[in-house]
Amino acid sequence: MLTCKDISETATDHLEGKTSFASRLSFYLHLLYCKYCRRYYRQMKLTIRTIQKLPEAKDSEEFPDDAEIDRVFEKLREQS
Amino acid sequence: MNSPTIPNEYTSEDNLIAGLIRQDEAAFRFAIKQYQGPMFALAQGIVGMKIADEVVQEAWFSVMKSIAKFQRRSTLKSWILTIVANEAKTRLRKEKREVSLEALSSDDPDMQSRFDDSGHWGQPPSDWQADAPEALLSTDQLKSCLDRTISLLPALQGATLNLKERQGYSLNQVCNILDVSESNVRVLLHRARNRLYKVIEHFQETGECCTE
Repeated sequence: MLTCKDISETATDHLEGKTSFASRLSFYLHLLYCKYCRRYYRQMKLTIRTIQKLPEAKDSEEFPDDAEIDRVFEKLREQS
Repeated sequence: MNSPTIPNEYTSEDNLIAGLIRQDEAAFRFAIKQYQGPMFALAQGIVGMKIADEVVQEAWFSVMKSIAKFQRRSTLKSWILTIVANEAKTRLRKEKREVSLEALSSDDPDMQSRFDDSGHWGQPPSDWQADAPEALLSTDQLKSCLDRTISLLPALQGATLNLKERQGYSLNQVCNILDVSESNVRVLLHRARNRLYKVIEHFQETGECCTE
C-alpha cells in the first residue's frame, strides 16, 4: 500500500512517464480514495504549467539582435 | 559595422561545422545568431544573470578552439551547450559555490515535514483558488516571487528546472548537458518543483512571497 508520502515522492516520476504499469496502478488507486493527494497532484501539475508560462528574462525571439552578434564576435576576435 | 549577409548554406549543420573549422566570420555570426539565446539561458540557469555573459563568451572561445575536434556524436547545439555547462560549473567551483548533488539520498526538506510518522498528510495541501497558470500569474508579485525563488535554488536544481520546464529540453538531454544521471535529474527536478509548489501555496494562503 502506498502512503501519501510515497505519492508525493513519486509524483515527478509519474508525470515524466518513468514508472511501471504496476506502480501506476497503485498510484492512481491511491488518488481515487485520497482527496489530499488528488489535490497535491492536481496542484503540482498546475505548478509545472505555471513555471512553463513564466516569461524568460530575455525574449528568445528577439535575442540576439545584430548589435549583440557584433559584440560577441568582436570579443571572440580579440581573444583569439 | 555592417553585418555581412549570412549565406544560407549554413542552415546545413555540416556546412556550418566546416565553416567554423575554417574560422569563417559568416559561419561564426550564423552560429552566434542560432545559439547565443539558448547558451545564455543555460548559463544564466547555472551561474545566474550577472556572470552568464562571461561564461557564454568563454564558451564561444572554447568552441572556436576545439571545433576541429568535434566528433559529431551529438548535434552541434548540444555539443555547444555541454561546453557552456562545463564552463558554468567550473566557474561555480572557482567561486566555491556547491555544484555537488546536495545530499540527494535524504528526504526532501520541503515536503518531509508535511507527513506524520505513518506517511499520511500531517499538514495537507491547502486548496488553491486559482486553477490555471494565467490566474496565478495575473499578479506581478507572484511572478517575481517565482523568478526570485528559481534564482535562489541550489545551482543544479535551478539549472535542471530551467532547462526542463522553461527551455523544453527532455530529461535525457538535461542529463547529457549537466552530466548527471537520469535518476538524479528526476530528484533535482522534483525538489525544485516542490519548492515552487510551496511558494505558490504560501502565496495563495497569505498573498506574500516566502523564499525560505
